Amino acid sequence: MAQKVRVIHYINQFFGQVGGEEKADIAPFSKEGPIGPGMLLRHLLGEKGEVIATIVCGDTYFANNIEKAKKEVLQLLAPHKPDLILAGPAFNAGRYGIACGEVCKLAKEELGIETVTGMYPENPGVELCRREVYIIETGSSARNMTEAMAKMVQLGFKLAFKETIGQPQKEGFLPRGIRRNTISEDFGSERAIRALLAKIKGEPFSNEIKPPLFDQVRPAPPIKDLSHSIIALVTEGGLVPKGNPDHIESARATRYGVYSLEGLDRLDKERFESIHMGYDTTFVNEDPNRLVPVDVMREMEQEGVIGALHPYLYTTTGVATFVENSKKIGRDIAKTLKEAEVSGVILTST
Amino acid sequence: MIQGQTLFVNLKELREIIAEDPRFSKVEIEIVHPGDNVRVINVLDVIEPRIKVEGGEIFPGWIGGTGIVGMGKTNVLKGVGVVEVGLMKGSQCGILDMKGPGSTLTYYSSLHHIVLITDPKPGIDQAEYSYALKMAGLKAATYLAKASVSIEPDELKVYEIPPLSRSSIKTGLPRIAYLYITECHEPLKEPFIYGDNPRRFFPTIFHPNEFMDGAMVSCLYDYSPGLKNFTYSIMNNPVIEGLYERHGRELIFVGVVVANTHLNLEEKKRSASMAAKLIRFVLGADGVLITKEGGGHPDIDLMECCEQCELLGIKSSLINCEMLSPDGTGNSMVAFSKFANCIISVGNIEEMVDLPPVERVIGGKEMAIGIKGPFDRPMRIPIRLIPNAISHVGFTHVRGEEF
Repeated sequence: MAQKVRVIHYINQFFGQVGGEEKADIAPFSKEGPIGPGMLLRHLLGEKGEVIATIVCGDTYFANNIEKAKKEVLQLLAPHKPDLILAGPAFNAGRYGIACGEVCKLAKEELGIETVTGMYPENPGVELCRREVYIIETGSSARNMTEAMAKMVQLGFKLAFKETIGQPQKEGFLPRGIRRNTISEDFGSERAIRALLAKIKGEPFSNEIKPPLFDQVRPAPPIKDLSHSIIALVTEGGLVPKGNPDHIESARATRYGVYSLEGLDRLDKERFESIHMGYDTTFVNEDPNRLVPVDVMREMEQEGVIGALHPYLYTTTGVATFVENSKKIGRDIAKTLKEAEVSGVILTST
Repeated sequence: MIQGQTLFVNLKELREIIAEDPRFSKVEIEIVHPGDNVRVINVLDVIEPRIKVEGGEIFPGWIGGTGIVGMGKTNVLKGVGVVEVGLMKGSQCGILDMKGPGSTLTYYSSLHHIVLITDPKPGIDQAEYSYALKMAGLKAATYLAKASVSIEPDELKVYEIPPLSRSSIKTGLPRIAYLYITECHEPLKEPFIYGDNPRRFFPTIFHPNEFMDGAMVSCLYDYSPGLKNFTYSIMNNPVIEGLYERHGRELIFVGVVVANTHLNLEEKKRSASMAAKLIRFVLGADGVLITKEGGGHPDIDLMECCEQCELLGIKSSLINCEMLSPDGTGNSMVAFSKFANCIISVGNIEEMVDLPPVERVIGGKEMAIGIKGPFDRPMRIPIRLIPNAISHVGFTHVRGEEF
């Protein structure tokens, strides 16, 4: 890049030299060139970059008028056509951290501009934006300004020049919860053996996979009167009309199918088949009712045990499916069932 | 025939040996080398050529009888692989580049391969074809290794751990066991142990050397290459190698327990508690390294085994892949135990890899997994399609890290 990287610096009223807490409610404004810590920034950018403007906003103003403040900051940012936004660093200042996080998120989402901010790991702004924004890990106070700013500039240049971003520890940013494959010097087996020996000795050992965050779902209350309830059939067993008209994937499903059960007393093996890749489908293909019990449900409907069978079957394949896709499929089906006043579901899994 | 460091293969003779099997309608053999501008598609398994020259059997239940394995002398052709290639409809097959970025991700690209390309005879079902393929691969592996019988090896390695009664001598070193959880169900999803399907298998103690002589071979043809252990990585299991290397210096290697991945929770729990019992009370281990095979529900087996071991006071470390979205977000695993505090990641199986165009493609005109050709073009594929770029026994340098 022959031209200098055009940088906008976002800071609060204190670092913007407007004043302390008593001036924390000032609305955002923009000024050409660097202010306060921006002088240090200018020095660190050197020949490769330039602070074209500084945007200053009061912390209280931002925190109390988030949506309004975001719009105003966006209006101030856009005309400068910056290549990079550097916000803060906010250290352990909570409202300042939230403002930096929001400004960075906004610039990336709305204008596609690369951004870097800096925060102490316990700053509430971290949780707000760590997934979307590069946050350089800083100490808790402005004493760490030079070091923090230097890392922000270094990472900012890499982003602006579209260079490869290294590991969080190497670049100094807080992990964003995004996992990437890297090449390790050793085989995985060697790392596992070393970790085990360290664990036995009571020394620090590596743990490369963090606990997943599973949702806790509270079960719905029991059905009071089954004989007046609509019951639906949902399966992840991959049962589809022969030929799989909607091309539901045999594994790693991204979608589900909805098929009418209207007028069917049972599922005919001539018309339905399982395309699931994760289990032996021989028996299901011999009698699809053993995966999706339409035959028994119709009998119960006749006998008045249940009010009615919901007229559609919802089906997908549950094998090696990304959790995110499973959630989306589940949410969509649940929403449809709710709208159809279904009060009970038989989920058959394989 | 081997001259110096060069293996000469009589392809005509080898082809005849493989084509003897009436289950094949076509047998072709190709040779590929590291650095060749070649892409091998429809890769189903890789095997290392080995032959028994003294005492015991090799590939028991297939090539050898079901006698004792893991003792005597085994000759190994290092640097050589036998690749099984076939169009197994609907199954999960691999893509092996011998050059370029794809080749940096798997050990198998560093081998000189004898590639067996076969078609089944009409009317031969997939299960039968899978057994024919396995037999062909193992026949080729022993045929090639036979060339080494009369020559001096370049390197001699002794793998020896004393019987348990003698290893219980106090050394002050931690006693380490290895729990290998395989995944065996119906045909096309069956690693074989001594020639048999271990679907109803109870956890059993193995001598680590049994793996080296092919007591277990992979017939997991219907599994993503990133989710299964290839026969090559079972014979060269780096966990076993690593524990052997440290045996007597940093640890005492007390043996291997093999367990299967079961289909319902009760079976999973039973298997885990039986395995933990063997490791604690029979092998007397202080620590255990646990690996699994397969994708989602085997996570439950891995976690149950970890939990049962830890509850008995055995410290554990685990190896697992991550099943995230291609962009690296989501949950790495589908099951988790709070006891699992030491897990090594061998990477996100869904991360995409860009493969450049190649000069030549070997292994057919179409791919079983529905990827459309031509295959000499640049391809963007999930890393799980590269054989053992993701390896549950840690036979890979790929690792998942947080960014």
